[in-house]
Parts: sequence; structure tokens; C-alpha cells
Amino acid sequence: MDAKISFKLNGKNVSITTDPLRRLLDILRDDFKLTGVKEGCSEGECGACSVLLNGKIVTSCIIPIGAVDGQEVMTIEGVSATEGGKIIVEAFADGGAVQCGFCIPGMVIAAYYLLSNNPNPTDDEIRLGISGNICRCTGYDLIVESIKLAAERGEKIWKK
Amino acid sequence: MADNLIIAKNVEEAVALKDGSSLFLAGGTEVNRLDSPCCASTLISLGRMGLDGLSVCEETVDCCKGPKKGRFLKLGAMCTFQELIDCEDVPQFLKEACRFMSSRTKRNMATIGGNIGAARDDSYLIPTLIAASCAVELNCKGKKHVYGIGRYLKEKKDYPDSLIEAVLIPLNGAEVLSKRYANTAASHAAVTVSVSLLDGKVRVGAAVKNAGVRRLVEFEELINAGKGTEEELIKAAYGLDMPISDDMFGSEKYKRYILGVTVSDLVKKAQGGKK
Ligand SMILES: Cc1cc2nc3c(=O)[nH]c(=O)nc-3n(C[C@H](O)[C@H](O)[C@H](O)COP(=O)(O)OP(=O)(O)OC[C@H]3O[C@@H](n4cnc5c(N)ncnc54)[C@H](O)[C@@H]3O)c2cc1C
Ligand code: FES
Ligand code: FES
Repeated sequence: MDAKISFKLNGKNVSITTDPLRRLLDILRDDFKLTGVKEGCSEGECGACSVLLNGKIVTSCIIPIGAVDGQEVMTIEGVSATEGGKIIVEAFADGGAVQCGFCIPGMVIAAYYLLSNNPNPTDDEIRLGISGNICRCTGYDLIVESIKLAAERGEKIWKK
Repeated sequence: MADNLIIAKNVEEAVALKDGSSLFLAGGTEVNRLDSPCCASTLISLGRMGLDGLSVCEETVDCCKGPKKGRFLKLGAMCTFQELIDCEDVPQFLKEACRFMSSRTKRNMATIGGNIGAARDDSYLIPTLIAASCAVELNCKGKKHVYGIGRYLKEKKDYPDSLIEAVLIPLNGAEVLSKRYANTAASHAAVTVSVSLLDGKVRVGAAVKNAGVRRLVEFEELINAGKGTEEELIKAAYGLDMPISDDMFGSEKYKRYILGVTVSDLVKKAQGGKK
């Protein structure tokens, strides 16, 4: 049975009447046309569908939209419009972190979540920070380097 | 695939709604994952009931061998793995077991109650909780029970609609050591073993893929009787009454051997640490 679900999406209040068991991932992509969020494994393992739910990184492929009622969601579109998000995106481009790009929205979300909580992470902490995100192309090293670059470039923002 | 989602307002509502056709929904990382064995027409979300607190309590636990009183750290069933890692009051051994779930993202979602509810044969936490003599606070249709985790697992099918409200970790200073064998950090474990040492007595919990998760009293009796050499434990593992078989995670022989050797190693390590 359809239900009206209201939540905050990238800072704006939104509502949708739908089956509360539909996946947050599908709602974002199909109903709100936020296609930055990707579908990889569909089972919570690869992190391609990562979003921030109430400020915490989660995988949108295993969250029913009904559980999001009254909550706050931020997607890559929202994150990359923030000051910190812009710095991460630029650092990923400058640092050569991107090959096919499929994992990158999830990686940027993970980097944003990490740097927001730990402005000056070590290499190990960065690797733990992206432990929920799988990249089949890069071998991770340039992603780690790019997150370090984003930490340096955004020092003042992350430490706020 | 379910066709109804109910967000329970409180414990009473969640428990009243639960029947054979419904399932509780905690972090959803087991219920909602692709190819999940969880099957129900209604999901009852536990996300808005505030079951994520942490406190210290005195409690009497109904164990297999009768009631036992003690002091416990009480963890709400909805505490996520990451919250447990981030909380300084949580014992180190439980944090280590939480880290067996290698994805930080998944750790933000998966709950301790959900891990016990799922009771998988590659469970991240249950071997550790068994070795640490933990208990669960259950709400069975409005009636409260506090059961040792071993008893809960044994009798789980008798309480299919019970809600785990909290997990109780004994504040008894026991040391717990755990080891998990998997091909990669993200793979399913072939074998997970936990051993605790308290007042010279050893307690063992293990999960073996496709064979189950339980307390290994057979090993405890041997070790506590002074017969726990590595050779004796490997022999005991080969004779263990558990339906261990060859599968893609390893041969039966491998899993039994690893079980015996690991119990032996962890006991030695725990005993060494105590000297
Ligand atoms: C890719 C992937 C790999 C995984 N690998 C493993 C693994 O190796 N080992 C492992 O143990 N798990 C694994 N899981 C499953 C899962 O992540 C964990 O078991 C997790 O701890 C489940 O917690 P949850 O809160 O998400 O539970 P949910 O999925 O919400 O629920 C799991 C079960 O417990 C019941 N339940 C939930 N809360 C309660 C409660 N308070 N009282 C009573 N019953 C309750 C539910 O009805 C359901 O039957 C994996 C999941 C994924 C997606
Ligand atoms: S698509 Fe969601 S984690 Fe892979
Ligand atoms: S760049 Fe291709 S998956 Fe990461």
C-alpha cells in the first residue's frame, strides 16, 4: 500500500507517495533523477550507492524508503555542491583518482564523511574510511593520495 | 519480498504486531540484502524505538544450568557495530569482533541485535558473545526473559516472535580472544573461533560455515580437565558432533583442523597473557 513519505533531500524538504518498501536507491535515481548514486552489487557490499543518512554514510540499495520518513538524506549531488565536496572532486581529478568513474560518487561521499569527522587522517585511516567502497579499476592508491590532497587543500573547512 | 512496512512506535507495538508472517527490521543489512533468506510479508522497523542506549545493570540471567546473578554492561539491541567501536565503555574484545565486518559503511547500519537475530553460521559477533558469557534481554509478547546467549540460541525456535531488547556483557574482567578465517576481509568466514579465560576456566564459541554457530562445551571440558594439548584438540575437532562438510569455503578436514588448532592457539595466548 502506498504511503506519503517526507524527508529532507540535499537540504530541501521533499515528499513522495509510493510503496514504502521501494529502495532509497531507486527513489533517488528514478523519482528524483539523482543519477549520481549508482547501483553496483545491490547488496550493501560495494558502496557505489552510498549516501549520507542523517550525516552517516550508508548504502541506499538496502534501505526501504519508508525507513527514511522524517530523516535527512544527502547524495553526491548535494555533497559536491558544498565547499568541502568541491575540494574533494577537484582533488580526485587532479590526483588521477578516476578511471571508469563508477565507484567515484560513493568514494567522494566516503571521503566527505571521513574528512568531516577526521580532518587529518593517516593513510590507514583513509583506507578504513573507504573500506565500504570497492573500486575495480584504480588499485586505490591514487584515491588515497587524492583524499590526502583534499585534506590538505580543505584544511580550514574540515577543521570547522 | 515483503509487501508491508510498519515503523513501530515503541517496544509494546513492535511485539504486539509480530507474528509468523512478519519480521523485525533493524539495520536491514541481512533482511534487505540480495538473496537474503529472510522472508516475510510484513517488516516491523525497530528504528524509532530508542533501543540504542548503554547502561550498567545488575541482572539475574537464566542460563542452561540455572539462574546466575551478575553486573553487566547493557547494550540496546539497536546499537550499530560502529557505535560499539566508537564507545569507550565497550570492551575491546567486542570492538574487535565488530571490526570483522570490514565495511565501515555497513557498520553504520548493522546492529548487534540484528546479528544475533540473524544467527548466521558465519556470524561476526556470536562466537565472541558466547565466549564472553553474554546474555540477551528478550521481550516475548510482553514477558521479559533474560537468557544466556547459549540458551537463547538453543531455544530460539521456541520464541520465534521474541524481540531482543538488549545484550548484556558481563563486567567480570574476562579476556576474550577471537579469530576469523575468510578469503578476504569481505568474504564469508569458513571458521570463526572465540575463547575466553576467567578464573582459570576456558569457554569456547565457534561459527562454522554451513554447520552452525554454538558453544563448544566438548572443547571446554577437555581443556578445563587439563587435556587441551594441540594434538588432543585437533582430535576433538575431527570428532566434533557438528555437520561440517566440504563446500566452497573449504574442505571438512580443513575446517575441523583449523578449529582445533585455533582453539589451542587462542587458549595458549590467553593463558600466556594471564601470567
Ligand atoms: C554483503 C553482506 C555480507 C554479510 N556478511 C555477513 C557475515 O559474514 N557474517 C554475518 O554475521 N553477517 C553478515 N551479513 C549480514 C548482516 O550484515 C549482519 O548479520 C548484521 O549484523 C545484521 O544486523 P542488522 O541490524 O542489519 O539486521 P537485520 O537485517 O535488520 O535483521 C537480521 C535478522 O535479525 C532479526 N532481528 C533484528 N533485530 C532484532 C531484534 N532486536 N530482536 C529479534 N530479532 C531481530 C530480523 O528479523 C532478521 O531476521 C552480511 C550482509 C551483507 C549485506
Ligand atoms: S549497490 Fe549498494 S552497496 Fe553495492
Ligand atoms: S574508477 Fe572504475 S570502479 Fe573505481
